[in-house]
Amino acid sequence: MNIETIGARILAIAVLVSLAACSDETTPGDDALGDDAPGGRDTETEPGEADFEGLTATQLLVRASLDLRGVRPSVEELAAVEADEGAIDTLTEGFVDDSRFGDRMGDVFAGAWRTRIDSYEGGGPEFIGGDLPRYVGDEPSNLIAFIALNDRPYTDLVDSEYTYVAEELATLWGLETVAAGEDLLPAGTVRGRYVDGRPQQGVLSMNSVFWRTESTIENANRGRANALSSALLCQSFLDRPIDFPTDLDLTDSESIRNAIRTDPACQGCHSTLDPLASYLWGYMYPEAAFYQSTYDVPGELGWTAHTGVEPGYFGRQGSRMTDLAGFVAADERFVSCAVQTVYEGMMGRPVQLADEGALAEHREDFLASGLSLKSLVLSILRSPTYRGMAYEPRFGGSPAPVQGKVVPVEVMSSAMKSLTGYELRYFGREAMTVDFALRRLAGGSDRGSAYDVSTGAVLVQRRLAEGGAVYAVQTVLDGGQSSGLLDAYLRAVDLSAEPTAEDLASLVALVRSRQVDPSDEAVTALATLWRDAQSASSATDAWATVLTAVLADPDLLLY
Amino acid sequence: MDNVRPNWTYVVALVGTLGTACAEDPGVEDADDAGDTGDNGDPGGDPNRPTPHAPMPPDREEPNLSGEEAARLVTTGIEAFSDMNAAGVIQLVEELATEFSDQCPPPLEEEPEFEADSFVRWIVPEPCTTPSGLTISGDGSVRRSADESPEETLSSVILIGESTRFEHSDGRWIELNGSISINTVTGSEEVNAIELEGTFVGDPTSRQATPLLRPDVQASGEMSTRNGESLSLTGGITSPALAPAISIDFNAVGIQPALCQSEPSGVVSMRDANGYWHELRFTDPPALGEHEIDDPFAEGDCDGCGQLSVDGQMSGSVCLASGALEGLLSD
Repeated sequence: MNIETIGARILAIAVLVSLAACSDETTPGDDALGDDAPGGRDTETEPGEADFEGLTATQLLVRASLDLRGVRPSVEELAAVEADEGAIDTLTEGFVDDSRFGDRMGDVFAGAWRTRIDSYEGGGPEFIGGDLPRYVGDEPSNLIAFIALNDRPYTDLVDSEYTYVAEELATLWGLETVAAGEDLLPAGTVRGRYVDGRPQQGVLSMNSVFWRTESTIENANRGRANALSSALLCQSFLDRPIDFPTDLDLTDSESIRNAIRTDPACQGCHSTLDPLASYLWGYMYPEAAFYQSTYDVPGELGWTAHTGVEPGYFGRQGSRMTDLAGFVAADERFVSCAVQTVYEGMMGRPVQLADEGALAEHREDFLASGLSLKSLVLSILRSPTYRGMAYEPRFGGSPAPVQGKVVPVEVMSSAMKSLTGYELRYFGREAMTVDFALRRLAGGSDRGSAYDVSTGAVLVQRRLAEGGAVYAVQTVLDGGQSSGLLDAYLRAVDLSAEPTAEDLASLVALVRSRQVDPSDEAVTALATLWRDAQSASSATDAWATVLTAVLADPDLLLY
Repeated sequence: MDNVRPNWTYVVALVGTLGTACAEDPGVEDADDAGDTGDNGDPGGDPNRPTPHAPMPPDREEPNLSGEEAARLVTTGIEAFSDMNAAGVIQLVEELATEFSDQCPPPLEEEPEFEADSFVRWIVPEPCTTPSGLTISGDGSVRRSADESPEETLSSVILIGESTRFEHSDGRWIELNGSISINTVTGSEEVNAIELEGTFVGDPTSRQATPLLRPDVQASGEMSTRNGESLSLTGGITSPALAPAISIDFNAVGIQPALCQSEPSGVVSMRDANGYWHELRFTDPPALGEHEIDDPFAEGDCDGCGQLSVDGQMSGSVCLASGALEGLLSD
């Protein structure tokens, strides 16, 4: 399909939708939310109101499907729950066995690792554009995805002898690829193992983690140690209050080193930060022009020459990376941090003090399961808070019910793609994964986007809706086939004729996950829109216009 | 909320957010160590108390290098470093460089301002291919020079590669990310000095003659010999040839048979497969120990033995085999 043609048609569709929105008070965009919609604006069940009694079964179905699979529920699943609300728990709990569950868990933890950045210039020219930066950035998330898919204990995060990366990256980094047997691999990855003598300790062995956080000799891996503490323990040394010595000469390295060793204000952090940093000297490459993909085993002894601080973990001695992994895995904070990260990811908001009792409950389930992410997710999925209801956990607190939340960038992207088969690309890269394309505008960043959404998400949704609608319609007209669910729908209708009310009701069910009667006013509004667009352009453009309106509906933004 | 103490929320909050791994709540009787890593995971039957995270400690691997192996690895490591054949890397690059064409690599915008007997430079941001089938990418150079005087001649060759890859249609390829410097003095003195930094990988055929090009081999540091009478080495090497060790680090290691035939000076550290470092510390030869080195270990003996410590713990004296150092200076 000609790109210029698509672009022109997208522009035309945008104009048609805008005109329709201005001229018709009953367009779907103004009346999209049902009376019981989470995040609805015009009903008596608006979020935060006291009489909100929690999500309906279908709302829970949509939420769980998006959170655990990254796609909207199928029409069949929707119908099953409409027919029997009691089926909701069995259905949603089955989502943790979906092949897409791993990717979603990877997304949830991606903000902790912050490796999903636009480029890795330090890795060399080949890591600036193309797919390689994404392959690097996905490395920690891929291990988490593997753990989730195969229901491995979460301690594998620091204990896995394998990493999971795209084959191209495995080749470039000189990894030994290993057959996965019957294990489920994250999509697009191979199982690899570093063979350069580095300890095999999950994320502690990943190039991506140490490419993302560089270090100079002078910094002595402290920034990296803090990044690990933040990601693994949810504790940043930078959050600690610092009574910074004012008489310190920051231009004198020896003065700084002396203060770090002797000044109580400095020791408050450095007494534990520096020993943690001393584990990481094998990843130091100060003389190299680019980041190195090979671990420097003799470099492990770098601390002896540069800081004199022995490796250690918050007062516990152990010189090896393996010791570090064991300390982390046994640390209470490691478990609590995982619970907090998944909780925040599913609730779509940061934890507050009122959540602590609920976190303790989920932590119990997590521990009882042997640190299974699936069990943790199910525990949160079953919680009243996730279902929009207030309750008092047995450990106290009063978590705020999640009545409505905004879709994270990754979920918006995957949900749209699953419907339309359309993926907006920017210089050959998926635009929703790149900050300088659409991710930042939609509220995402390498910090993750579980609750870091932006009003720009509306604009991005609109853009994807326009592009996706035109792509889906044009693909059918061209005799092609897209991977989106709309493909079969569009083949079943007559694109040269006005849609029936039943056609439009089916479209609403497919895209917005709402079962509406053909006589519903939302359907009527769509029919009116089709006719307006058809009179201004053509039947096929009218179809694309209607599709755009449905895809741009707030139902796809709020859930 | 039944049977919940009023302060419980804050206890949980402290455990969850402050991560007090070993803290006990003074307000709760019979409190377990919430973050203890002991083997008791029983919450004690109180359903209102969070269960401690108490995983079974993993089996701890032991150091797996014997004293005899450590002693043997001293010479194995020095030999492995000597056998890297860094000059072979430069030779391969120079062979490939003979196929450079007018447009590949692109002509330099500025000529070098220094003098050199030969100088090859490539700056190739976008890969290019020569008519002979050599594809080039990255930056780098090879510079040869010689400085002659009546007493001696200093020959120098320096290779620098930054994200460089040469790939020939005949199957040869090499990747360079680092530098190699070889200096040779001939005349009144005979000195050979090699300095390595970075990583170098090449095709399987090239690896046979030049182990430095193997993907599982790394070497960095400085090594020099003088008049075939002394050797000094500071640096590290990682290679399968070092098995059962993974890697060896040499810290100011010196061999001077004129002072001591049976023992080197300096510190040799060996990393085993389980991650432990075995450090073998030798005393300096008598002459050095008496006059030049301010080191508590520099007692100046020459008994062929060093003090071995494993993971920072002293484990006794280890001695090199008789004649172990012989031959290291003859190559």
